[in-house]
Amino acid sequence: MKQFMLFLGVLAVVVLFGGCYIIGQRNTLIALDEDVNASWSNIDADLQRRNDLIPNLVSTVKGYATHEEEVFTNIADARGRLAGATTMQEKAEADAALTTGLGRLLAIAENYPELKANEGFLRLQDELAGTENRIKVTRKRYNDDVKKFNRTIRQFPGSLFAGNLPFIGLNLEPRDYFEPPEGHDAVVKAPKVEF
Amino acid sequence: MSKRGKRFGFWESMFPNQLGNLCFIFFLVGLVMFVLHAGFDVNVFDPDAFKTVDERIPALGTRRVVDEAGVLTQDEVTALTAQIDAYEAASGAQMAVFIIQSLHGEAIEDFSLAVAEKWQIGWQGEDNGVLLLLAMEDRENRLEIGYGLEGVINDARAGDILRDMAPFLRQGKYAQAISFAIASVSAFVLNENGPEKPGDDIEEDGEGGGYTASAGNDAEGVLFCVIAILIVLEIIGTIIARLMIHPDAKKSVGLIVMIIVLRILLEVLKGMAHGGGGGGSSRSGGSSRSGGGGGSFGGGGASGKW
Repeated sequence: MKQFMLFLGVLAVVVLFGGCYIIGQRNTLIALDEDVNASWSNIDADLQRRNDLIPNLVSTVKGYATHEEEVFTNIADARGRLAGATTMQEKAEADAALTTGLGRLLAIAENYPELKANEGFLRLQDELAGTENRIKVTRKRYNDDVKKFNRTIRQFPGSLFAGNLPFIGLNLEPRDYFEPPEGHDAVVKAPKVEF
Repeated sequence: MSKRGKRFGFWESMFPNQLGNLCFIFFLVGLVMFVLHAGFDVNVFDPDAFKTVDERIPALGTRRVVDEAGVLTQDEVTALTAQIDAYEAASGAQMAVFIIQSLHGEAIEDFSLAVAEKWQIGWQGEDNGVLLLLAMEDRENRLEIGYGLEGVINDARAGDILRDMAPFLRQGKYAQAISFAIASVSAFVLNENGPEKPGDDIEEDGEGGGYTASAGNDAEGVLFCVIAILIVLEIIGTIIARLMIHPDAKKSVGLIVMIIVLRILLEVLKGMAHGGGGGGSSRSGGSSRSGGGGGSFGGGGASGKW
């Protein structure tokens, strides 16, 4: 009897510890998952912000540079693709195309001294550069969050709770990084590291 | 070795009955869980613990003007600091100026964000910090705007300030240029924001805007665990007390209680570390200057050249 009671006590503590442990692990995973979601919506907001800036910028440049139709078409095209993109891959590709287009647009501006001196253009350029920088920052933070999340759900013991175990499994899948496709590294250059 | 013969080994000599053995196993399980959990928490779930700090960025301390390039006189530093003090007192925001000799090939946006993240200018939750960075050799400057002020000093305005600074900088009037920048930031923030806003803090739940690490869930978990542990401890205590157990087992029970207490302490400490993390020092009402208040930045602002 004594031993049975003690066994019960031991069992209770093991269950308690185990329970707390499981809850803690699950909460950690859920929190990391939400971090990824939050960072993704930050990227999305920044992409949208840039998308909204472009018409102003294009129309300003158009006022001075009338013979550069191709660049304007490319930008409009990439903008449309970004708006219609559903997967992360499509988004990253459209984003890269848009960045290339904008880079050309700004390069064109160099050829028009009047445009370069236009205050409205300068300010739009600031806004654009600021937004590009924000995208870079949110993108890095998103990728950091994804890395942390993926690493946690793939390593033990996270893998245990991220799987499809009955009752405790969360069925979490590794998330995609937000990366431009090969060959497009215009905006999102890797940060320079110096030794 | 023992009079009981070979059948009893080392463990039996330590815990010479089954009750003791059980308790010891129990103790081991607890210990393993304790170590496992603590270990994984530190190493895997918080890789930031191993982050290296960019050694080129000095600690801010309570300074506001950090002149590593040595282009300002002591008097100028004092005057500019006083100007920032006045702005901070009027606006409740924070601002710092950093002058470096060279960026060493780093993009000014990257370096400036690293400085802003390290110094954490601006108050936590309000994110109302501004950093002015000047790189002398590169002849580049940047105004880094905290999340909370992005609406007031948008990128175009930040660009305006930098463009208007440029003439001073070209003439080598660095103190004047910086003073102009402080005055402009001050004008934007005070006009749009008003000094000491009492009721319009929307993001007041202490979580900080935008990007924050996962902390909130932990606290709940800790609380739940503590309560659950206390309840079960009570039950187990009653059971064990009824049993009037063997003295050896009593020792183990002591150990178990110790583990549990340690575990709770660890959780509480962890919770505190999470909650108070990010260098969020409290705002002091007096005139004494404080360090960075834990403000976050998201890459807003503008860069310029002169």
